[in-house]
Amino acid sequence: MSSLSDFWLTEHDEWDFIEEAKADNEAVALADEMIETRQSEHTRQLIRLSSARRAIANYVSILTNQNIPVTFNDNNINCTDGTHVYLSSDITKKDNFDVAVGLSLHEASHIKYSDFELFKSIWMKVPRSIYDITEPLNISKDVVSKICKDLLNYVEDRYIDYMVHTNAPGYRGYYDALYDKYFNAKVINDALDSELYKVPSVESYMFRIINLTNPNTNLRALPGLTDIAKALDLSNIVRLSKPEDRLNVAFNIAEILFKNITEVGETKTITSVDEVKGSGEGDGELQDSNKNDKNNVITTGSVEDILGGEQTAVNSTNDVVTNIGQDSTISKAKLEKIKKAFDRQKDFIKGTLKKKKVSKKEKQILDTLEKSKVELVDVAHDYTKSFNLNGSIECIVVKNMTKDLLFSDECPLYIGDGNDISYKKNLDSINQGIIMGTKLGRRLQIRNEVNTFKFSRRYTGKLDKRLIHELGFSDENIFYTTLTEKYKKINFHISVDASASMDGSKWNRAIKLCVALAKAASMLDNVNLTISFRTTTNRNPYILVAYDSKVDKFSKIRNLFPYLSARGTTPEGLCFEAIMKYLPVADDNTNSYFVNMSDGEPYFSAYIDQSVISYSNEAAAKHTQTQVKKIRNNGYTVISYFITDNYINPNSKELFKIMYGIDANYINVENYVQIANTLNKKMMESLDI
Amino acid sequence: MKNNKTTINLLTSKNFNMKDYLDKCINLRPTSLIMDDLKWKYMVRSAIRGKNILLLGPTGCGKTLAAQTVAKVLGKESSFYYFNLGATQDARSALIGNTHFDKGTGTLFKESSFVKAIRTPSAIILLDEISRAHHDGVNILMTVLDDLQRYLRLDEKEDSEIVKVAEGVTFIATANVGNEYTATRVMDRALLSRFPVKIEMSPLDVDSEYNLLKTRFDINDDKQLGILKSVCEIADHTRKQVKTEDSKLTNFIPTRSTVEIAELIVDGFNLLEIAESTIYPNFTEDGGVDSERTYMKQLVQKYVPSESKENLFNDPLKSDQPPF
Repeated sequence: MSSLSDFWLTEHDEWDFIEEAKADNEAVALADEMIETRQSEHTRQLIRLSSARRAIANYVSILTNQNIPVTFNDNNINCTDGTHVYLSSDITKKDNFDVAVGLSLHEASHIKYSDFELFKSIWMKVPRSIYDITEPLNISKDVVSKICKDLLNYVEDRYIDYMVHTNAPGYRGYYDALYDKYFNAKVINDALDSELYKVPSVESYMFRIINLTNPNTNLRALPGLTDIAKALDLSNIVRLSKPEDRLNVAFNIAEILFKNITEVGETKTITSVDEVKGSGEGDGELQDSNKNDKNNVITTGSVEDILGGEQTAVNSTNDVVTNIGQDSTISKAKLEKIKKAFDRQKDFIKGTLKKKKVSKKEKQILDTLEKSKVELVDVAHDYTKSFNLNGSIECIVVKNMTKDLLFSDECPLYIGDGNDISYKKNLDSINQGIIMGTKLGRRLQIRNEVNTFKFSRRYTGKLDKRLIHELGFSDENIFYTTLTEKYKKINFHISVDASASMDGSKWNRAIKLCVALAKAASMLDNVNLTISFRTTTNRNPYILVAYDSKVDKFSKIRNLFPYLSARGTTPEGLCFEAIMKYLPVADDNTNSYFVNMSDGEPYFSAYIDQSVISYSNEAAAKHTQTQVKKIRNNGYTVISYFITDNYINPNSKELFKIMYGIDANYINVENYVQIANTLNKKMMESLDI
Repeated sequence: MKNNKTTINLLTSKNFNMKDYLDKCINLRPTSLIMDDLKWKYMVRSAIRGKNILLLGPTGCGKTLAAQTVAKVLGKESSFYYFNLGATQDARSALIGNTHFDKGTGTLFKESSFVKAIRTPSAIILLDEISRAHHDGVNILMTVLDDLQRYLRLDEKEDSEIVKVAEGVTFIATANVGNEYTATRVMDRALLSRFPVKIEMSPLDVDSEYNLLKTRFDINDDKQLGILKSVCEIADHTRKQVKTEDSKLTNFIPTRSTVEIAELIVDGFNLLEIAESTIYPNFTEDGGVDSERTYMKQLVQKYVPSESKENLFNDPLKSDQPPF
């Protein structure tokens, strides 16, 4: 991410850019997994896009004080229509993000400052004095109004950019990036210094006007350009606070422009752009200079309503072709570059900058990812250092499992179509879990109670009015004290190992236990509970937050949990490191518990810096142990349940002990009494008296 | 102890003309109180008429100050009584009184200062944070605030004396109403109906807050004024954002916080230091890039100058170019 964004991105939020991803791709190609990796990379790219969009949406909201939708272009819409801001889908490229923010701020400021109706009705407002000049030149009214609209857009852009640049000094860097790309590019500087765009044509004037803000601009390049600069008066553009003021300046500039074309039109030599193209590097002489009459100066073009307006009855804007002169020092290739750069400037002014589209399918996936609040989190910086590598592992964190996401290709935990047996087993586990949870909830019911004990007949304390009469009998113990026992709020986070080793009966037990805990929590006041599952895609650890009692109804468990399955591997510590920053802060008013369920075999193959490193055995267990310690240090009480079937792998049990230490519980997770005992034991430790 | 003789009842004064007085009262409002003219006029008029007034609004918008100011403007400082119902542990003791023991005389009942307040003619009684009052307190106040009853029974006194609310007493209550105030209680219809005058206080706008803080802390340095303006705009943005549908924030910066921040500005803190110490901690980090903290950082970023050009574009008229 750019240095500008370091202001708000924290260390672990940083997004990798495409260049880095490409390097990773090469590493994976070595591992012969190119096809799957491409799909995985595509998902990651969409997640980055989604994050970038949300960050840019914040800027738009801050600038406009409105929650304006910021969406990717999926329908050839490039400019704001006054209600939306559209983004290009290549904004996560390293050089593009700052420009994208700048462009979005620019479009958002149009929404804030511009009068869109004025643009739509400009053809009705063009003063007669302008037509008086253009009619002898046979320039149609449509074309005149189009040029006036372009000029209005230009003035409008300068005003709104000035306003944001002045009022939001912290966002100036984004505007600098935007202007450096479109207005201060080297190719534009070269064109300004050349002999090009020095013949008094509309094209030349537009080029010189658009680039008046460039330090290399030359007011002597065209007659009347100084007057135009004076009319615009960039140093005092703040004066144009009303849309009508900006419109008047645009008309003023248009009048100067047309006057100067009129004055020189019949005497100056004019060539068409096509002829300039043909001249190649040229010998510096104007070709066929008298070929064009005034009608060639401006041919019929389109009045494309650039800010969401309507189409009017003229042809393409690009038909407005006129001469730009020639310069022998400019090569043909460079000329093409200059013209392309100028075309982009014109598109910018008109608000028709081409923005890379996302396909319908990509848009659908993006929507799903956004609704699910998916993010990439960099983890394991320390772990990779132990392999003498400098890098990190990206974890995919889904903060809100939705039905669309679960049933999509983006979720590795979907049970798959037609898997009725697993579905039924899951359903049974859920039903059993609900029954067990109801019993468990009753066992934990104590948490709802606030017990107040009154101790009467004390020598000190509050005066007990009912005992005052006893003073007459020399009894001075007429005071009382109270003792209140109550429980703090509780946050439970249940993290379930959803790797392939958990498949089968272990999975069903784990589901049953989670559902039981969720059900028990739903019966208690002041308990918030979240359930996350952890697995891997072929390249990333994957954490799916499937249930959050603060926002989800219990019915989500009934409806969606049957479709979950255990797949992939389990990079336990990596997932803990990633989820850690999303855990609610544990404070003095809250007791927080982190409940783990796993079978004790962390495993993952990570691709770092063109190398494959293994996350397994004792090294992975030690890394997990470190993360568990961090969770404890953050104020969480850790409870870890070892999920097993009949056979217990001694190595798994040993690793489990390394990872969780005294918090490891080897109990029968189908016995709610044992669960209640372990939970109660932990919860009684935090009784608030 | 308040002196009843100093109590002024304007309604009984000779030559008192309500319309004239209300027209003049706009000018009597001190600059430290930012309040809409009409609301101020309505509040003064209701206080003169002895109506029960309920001031509603978010925290830090000046409700308490408004009540204190009305008492001052009406010359009732000596008969102004303040009761914070949100901070009351034992409602009965605070509103009715307590039984004490004296070795010489035995048990005796001592009236609370609230009883004294309602006995004071034309007093202004501020019931601050009534939305945080204990149920016992609300129940005790029911008869006191009822226009037709206006009495308080001292149950614990020997003869259960009934204290009538004196002539011209005005009750002004303040309340935070809204989901964000978790410790508040829902005010039931019966209690609300006892306040025929309800005045909704709005948070200060940017300019009002800026001018208020500038004057209050006597800030004259341009740099400090720039930071103050930025802080006021940031606070204002949070107040507006929190009200929007699908808001990105659940919390806002109240005026109490901006007052604290203004003190920091005077003590030489820059905007980044202020943000780190007093703004960010109020916004949760939960959610990473989507968190409220990230949003606030992006908001603060707007006002922290980046290392870039002072002017976005070049003015060709100021460039060193010979005339055409």
